[in-house]
Amino acid sequence: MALPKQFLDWFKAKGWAAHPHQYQIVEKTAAGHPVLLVAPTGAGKTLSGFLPSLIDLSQTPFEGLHTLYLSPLKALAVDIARNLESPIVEMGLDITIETRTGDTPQSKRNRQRTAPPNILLTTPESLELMLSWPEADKLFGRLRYIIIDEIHSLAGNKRGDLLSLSLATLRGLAPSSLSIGLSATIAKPEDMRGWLAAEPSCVEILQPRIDKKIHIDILETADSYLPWAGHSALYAATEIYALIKANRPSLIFVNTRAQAEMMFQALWRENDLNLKIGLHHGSLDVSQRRRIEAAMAGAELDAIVATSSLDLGIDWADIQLVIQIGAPKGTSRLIQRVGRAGHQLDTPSKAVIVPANRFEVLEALAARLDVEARILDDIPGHAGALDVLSQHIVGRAVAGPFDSDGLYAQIITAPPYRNLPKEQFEKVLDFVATGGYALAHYTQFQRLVRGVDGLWRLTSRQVATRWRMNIGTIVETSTMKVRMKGGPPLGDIEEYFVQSLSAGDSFIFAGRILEFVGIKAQQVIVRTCTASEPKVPAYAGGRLPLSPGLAMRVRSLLQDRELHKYLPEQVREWLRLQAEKSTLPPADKLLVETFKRGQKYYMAAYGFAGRNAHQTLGMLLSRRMEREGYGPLGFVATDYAIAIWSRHLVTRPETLFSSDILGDDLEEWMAETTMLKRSFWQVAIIAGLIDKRAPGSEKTQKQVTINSDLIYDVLRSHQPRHLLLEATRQDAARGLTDVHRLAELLTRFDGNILHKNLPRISPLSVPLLLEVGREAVTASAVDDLLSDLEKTLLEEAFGSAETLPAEKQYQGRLL
Amino acid sequence: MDKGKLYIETRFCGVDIQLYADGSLYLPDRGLLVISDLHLEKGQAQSVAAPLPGFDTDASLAKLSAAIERIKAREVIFLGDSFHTNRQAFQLPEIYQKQLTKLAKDRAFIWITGNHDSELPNFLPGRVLPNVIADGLYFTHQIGANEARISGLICGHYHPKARLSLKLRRISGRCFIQDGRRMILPAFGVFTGGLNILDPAIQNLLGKPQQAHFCHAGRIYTFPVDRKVFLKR
Repeated sequence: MALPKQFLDWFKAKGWAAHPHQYQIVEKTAAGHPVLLVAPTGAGKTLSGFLPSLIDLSQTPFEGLHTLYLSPLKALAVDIARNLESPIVEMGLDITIETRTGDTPQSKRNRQRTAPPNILLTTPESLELMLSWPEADKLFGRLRYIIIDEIHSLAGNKRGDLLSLSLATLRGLAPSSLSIGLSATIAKPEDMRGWLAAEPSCVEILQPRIDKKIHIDILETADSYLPWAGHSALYAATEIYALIKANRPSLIFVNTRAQAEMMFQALWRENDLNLKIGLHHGSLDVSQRRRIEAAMAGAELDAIVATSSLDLGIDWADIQLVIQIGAPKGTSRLIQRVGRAGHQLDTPSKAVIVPANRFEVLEALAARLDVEARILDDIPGHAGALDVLSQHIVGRAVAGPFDSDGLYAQIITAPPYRNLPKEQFEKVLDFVATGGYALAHYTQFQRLVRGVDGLWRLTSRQVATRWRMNIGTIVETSTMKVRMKGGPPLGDIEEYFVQSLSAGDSFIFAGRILEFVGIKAQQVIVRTCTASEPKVPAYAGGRLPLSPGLAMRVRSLLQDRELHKYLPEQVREWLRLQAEKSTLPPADKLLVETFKRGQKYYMAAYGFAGRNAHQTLGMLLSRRMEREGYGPLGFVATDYAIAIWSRHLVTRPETLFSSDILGDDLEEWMAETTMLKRSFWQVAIIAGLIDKRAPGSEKTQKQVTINSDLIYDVLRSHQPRHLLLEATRQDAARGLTDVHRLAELLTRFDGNILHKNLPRISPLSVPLLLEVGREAVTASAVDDLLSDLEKTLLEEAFGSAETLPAEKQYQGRLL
Repeated sequence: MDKGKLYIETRFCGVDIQLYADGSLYLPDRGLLVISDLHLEKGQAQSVAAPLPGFDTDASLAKLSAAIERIKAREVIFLGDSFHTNRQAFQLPEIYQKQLTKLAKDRAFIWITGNHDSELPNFLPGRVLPNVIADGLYFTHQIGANEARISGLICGHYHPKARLSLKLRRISGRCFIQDGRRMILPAFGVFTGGLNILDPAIQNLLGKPQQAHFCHAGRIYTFPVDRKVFLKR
């Protein structure tokens, strides 16, 4: 099928030829098929997605909303709008196009409600909100295309769950719409069909065979220095700066916001040439981010240091080089990031990985080998979250009265909820309606009631107001706005970090060194300063765990001596020593080393199951060791291994590492851990039990957290099967506690332990023990520490007297 | 190794007292248990903003019952704010009324009124009083304007709590705070926030030096109140 002349001329004027998949997408959609286009960056994916809409709109005049584009990132929506302007203007098409995100001004949002553009670019949260409007059926009724960009990034998480439910609703309102999914290369495109149509078999998958060249190097510094531990890679700042100088512009990806700030400072110190280097991460103020994005689009910057806030699709042509700081943590993520360089198809993407420590060198090499072999991370299957479903059900009632059978039928067309049993749905509906509490003497928690007509409706308008204020699945830790004294806002930092600041303290943020002046009207007031040792704000949940696929590759790399020649000399030497003094972790057994150091006995286990699963393992092992009298004192967990130290030597580790540890120990631990309480807090917010921010109240997160902790404790003792506890357990299987992956590890190696009792610390455990300092302290160790402190301080303050002197004054008896 | 204690035995204004890690105070010589700021039904009172169940009342009563049973108290003084609001007090569900009556069966209950519960319903077992003197100690809800110089005063109201830094982590907990003449009890109810002991609202009430009896994970520890030990936020 040919493109209209107008379009062919435009391609010609640009000096481009349309890609075959661009013809195909027009053809398939014209034939009524939803399409999934899977292609690497630079294949004109975005334009392909819009071609059917642009052609349709250029040929038939259209009033109202024609195409809805959904993007996981606000910045992406804004960027796409900018990029679409040029074909529309250059072909002289009469098409209106607008964005709508949380950042869109209220006046514009109101106008969009009555006079929508032809093409609206928005986010999943905004879509869910729009679907609750009474006029939603009119607004979306004539919708022709739904374009879902970066669709792979939405599978397997709560945000995707919400979008899948919104899409199910949207397809009900817009029966004649066709969905187009756009995705970077993914392991199993077939799994995504369900996202594009209620009837997955009619979806056409277009997967052009485009092999974009990728060239990845691993950085070695001139003096071949490599730190044993740490994650910031600041040791290589000089080399990184040299790379930027030679490759302008460069895009520098780091894994956390804290690392972004630190790397930015380090590069700035190297910046003799006054290169223009920008900083971009999710905690910066919108205005700051927009400014950086615009500067990058206008080719004004030489480099930009960014977190995953720039991972996805933003199209800034001429990136010469991508520099990945620290280990990539997953192959798909690395490919996505590397694809930012050499955006045109025929230019190879060039990237350099800068490992921050020795284990990361292994991970970097493993990732490079996987990328070269195009082995991608699998997106694990995922059952839709129940808290998200609760939120959606309230949203449906906000839109108007609903019939529960009809809603259930619609919900199970959303892929994550395909296997949701009817009873489970009823339970969620009951929770939404009544709170799901067994306590019969409280009846006024109802959010929904069922009328005589059999339809469910809201009990009050207040429920709708609360729902609108709490929409979405991203529950950020409570933050406070940072503002320059008498100047502009810079962004947000966590309340928890603010609590550690006193006036005069300095910290780095938004690329500057700032002095904490004070808190005024719930804002952190700062001014610039020149402190030499500023603090670095930490952000919760900053670190991603190593992906299972890549972990497997690191494991096999350790065994494959052939490949060791690609490693730097000192890493080879390190591994050689490990093989000599202990052994390299085998693929089929779990290596556990025990050794004595100082007065403590250490046990190191190399599970390669990711930091979160190891953290959980550490908690469970300490409980068990405590019970069995080993006297555990603390532990440290990384992506690769865990080390735990105790007063007594563990002689038979195989008795500790058995999968039955996931039974009672896990249950007990789940009752106490602050991590699960934190998950519960998030679940409770998403499900609408507690508010993100209580309206008109100045409640700090700490107060709110205390409340949710209490609810967690009492629900556990009174109603262990309450829906929200179930949802919390569902979260615990993945996420921060990663019980699912831990279970896999323990089952695989149950009875398959390779125990080495060593006379001294092993080479492989050195990096691990160097992480000590951020260790988790066990419960009995906290008690010891407090008791010691009590003793010292009391002696210091009062000699050894325990009571304060005072005279007795009142005489009398109980009245 | 020296471990934290389940309770501390000490003397306050010439009276032997025991301070428990659950936040209760006990006078062993007369079998008197003192409980402050239960804030019963707070969850229910706040349920207008968010649908929270009344589980906090169940939890607080269970904690109270454990404290009473532990030492077989002969008398119990509640230092005020036993209910989150007057209205919640009068509307206390029957099942909780029964639990309280059962707890008061073999002992005397004295309910001191607080700012949250200035009026208390008749169905409560025991007596309702604005304040009480026992064994030379003066029990009241909060330190009134003309009570600033009274010695031997024991009150609640301020929900003292403290934060301290321990190696690399910070911990916080409820605590008793005293200057040898006056003592403020922590809130006993499970659903209560707290005020940092370094806050001027508490500091302006007490002389120096001060001691804090810090409750954490079922243990109690005594510290001098010092900015070197405790964190302001």
